[in-house]
Amino acid sequence: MRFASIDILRTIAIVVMVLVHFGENLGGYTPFFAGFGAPLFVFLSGASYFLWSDARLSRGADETEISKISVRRGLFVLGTGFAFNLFVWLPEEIFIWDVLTFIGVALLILNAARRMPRSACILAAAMAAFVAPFLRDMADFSAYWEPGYFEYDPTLSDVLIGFLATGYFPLFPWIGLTLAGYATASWLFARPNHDAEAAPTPARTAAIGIGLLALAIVLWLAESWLPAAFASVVLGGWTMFPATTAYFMAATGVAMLLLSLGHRYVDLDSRSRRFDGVLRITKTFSRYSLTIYIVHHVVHLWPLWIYGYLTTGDPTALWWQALPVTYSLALGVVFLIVCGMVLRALGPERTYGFEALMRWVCD
Amino acid sequence: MHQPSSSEAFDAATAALADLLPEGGTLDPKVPLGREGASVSLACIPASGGELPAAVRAWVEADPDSGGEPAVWMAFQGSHIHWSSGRAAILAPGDRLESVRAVVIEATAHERELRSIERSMASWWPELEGDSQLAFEFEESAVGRRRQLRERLHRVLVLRARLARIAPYLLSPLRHPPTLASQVADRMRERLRMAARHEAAALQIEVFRDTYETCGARASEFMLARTGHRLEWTIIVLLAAQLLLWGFEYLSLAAE
Repeated sequence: MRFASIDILRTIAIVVMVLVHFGENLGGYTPFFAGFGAPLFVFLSGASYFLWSDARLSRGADETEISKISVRRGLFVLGTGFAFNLFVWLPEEIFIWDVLTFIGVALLILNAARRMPRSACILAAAMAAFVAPFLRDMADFSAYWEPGYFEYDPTLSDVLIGFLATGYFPLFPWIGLTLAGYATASWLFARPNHDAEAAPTPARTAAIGIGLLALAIVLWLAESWLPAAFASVVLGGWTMFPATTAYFMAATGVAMLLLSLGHRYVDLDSRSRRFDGVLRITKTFSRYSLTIYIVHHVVHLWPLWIYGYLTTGDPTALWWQALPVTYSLALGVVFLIVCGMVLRALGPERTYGFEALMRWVCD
Repeated sequence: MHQPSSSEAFDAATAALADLLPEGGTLDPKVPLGREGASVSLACIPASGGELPAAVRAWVEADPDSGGEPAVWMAFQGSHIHWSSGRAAILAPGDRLESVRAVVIEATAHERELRSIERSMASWWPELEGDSQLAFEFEESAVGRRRQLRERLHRVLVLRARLARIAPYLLSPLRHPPTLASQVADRMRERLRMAARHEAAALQIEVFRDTYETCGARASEFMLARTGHRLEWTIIVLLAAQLLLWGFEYLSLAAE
């Protein structure tokens, strides 16, 4: 079953990411909403996996079949992520552990997580968030981010450390967000049973989301009063790279809150059908989100690399400084408009793009 | 002409009958049967000969509570009884009328109880078919149904108790020496097939009890296993975190 709330949130995530990437990569400007899109995207990957596997089970698919497809899909996205790093971020950045490689690995882990009780899944998410600061401390995170972006030596240990703790989207703590998305969806979208009182309510998950957000803000504000060792290692301020404890909790809380509100006021409220036109657009953007993610990088980074190489001999010479901020963001908006028009012409049924390719290869 | 002994309102046919009863006859439109306001309309005519008037028999046969079942008729030693589930008429000598009346009320109460049990079970079969798969295997998606299953087992046990309570009356042999009242009671049990219906109801209720008891056992086993399963996963997650920290420490040392 397809939920409009998921489509809306995924559209928000992809729009935010497009604008942030255009603003940063072309103009060196980081919008205030940066750090909001990617966590939402990651959270929704867990939620979508639950809906996908649950729908398969309800249609009579057996566990083995679901596992095989999950593994194939995970490997496909992981492979796509490496290819993306190779061709978009150029060969030396192949192991930067971007969001696609992370989601590929997350799909493999989710395949195991779906056999876990929900409480264990939540515990695993919490543990992922808990161990991440210690892993970063052990690995000396700042040494990998001295230039302001992730840089590693092409050694096995550096690659593994980047994958686990210091890359752009390392397994820890980000897998916690995916597991949180999976657990939230398993609660919100569970098939109804005969016991109405046991049925989940969006209010409960929304309350948990608000609680996490409030706790994150309290931790962030209280950081200067806490012991320095604890504050610097465990909390570490409010940043996305690395995803600090307070940031991670806030991102999880906001994602849970938005999904709960969306489910309550869009999926469960018939009045939302008045906005059918908007919902059709979000459905299209959501269905092509993987394609949009890849294409928007290609259309603004490849010209940047080519022009940089032709003018200076260094493809990355103009990175973060090619255009004024207004032009960068305007190009992002233009991309979204053109993208919307093209996708509207193609239709929302996913017969094109990487999503269709993934289905063809994996299902 | 006789007025109804009860001041409560009753239906038009019963009201009309009150005017047709012979001298000495009584009409009680709501004789309580002892369960949740159940009652029967009862016409009693003291007479040492003759038969029940045709109007009275017609009134009994027009019983709206009969559910299409024909009225039961019997005669003993100058007594005549015309009986349906919601209406009954007795014609008996004055000195025996009260004892026959008591017997008819008692038989009606037990028959009504038996009928109520049969109807309850008849409405539960579709639910049973839906629940019976949980008697083989209980699963996570059914956890929310445990309370419902518990309530259904409870109501089956309550029904079984109700059936057991009426068993002494339904299954008791004829008293010796026989009296008019005891013979009327025995004949009513026979005509209303109460013993056979009781046996059938007991057989059916065993099916419900077996199913829901098995569901309860499966649910209980599942919940125990689930708790253990959760504990195992908790330990696995904690051990994995510990192994990760331990392994990562070595990895960090190797990277230096």
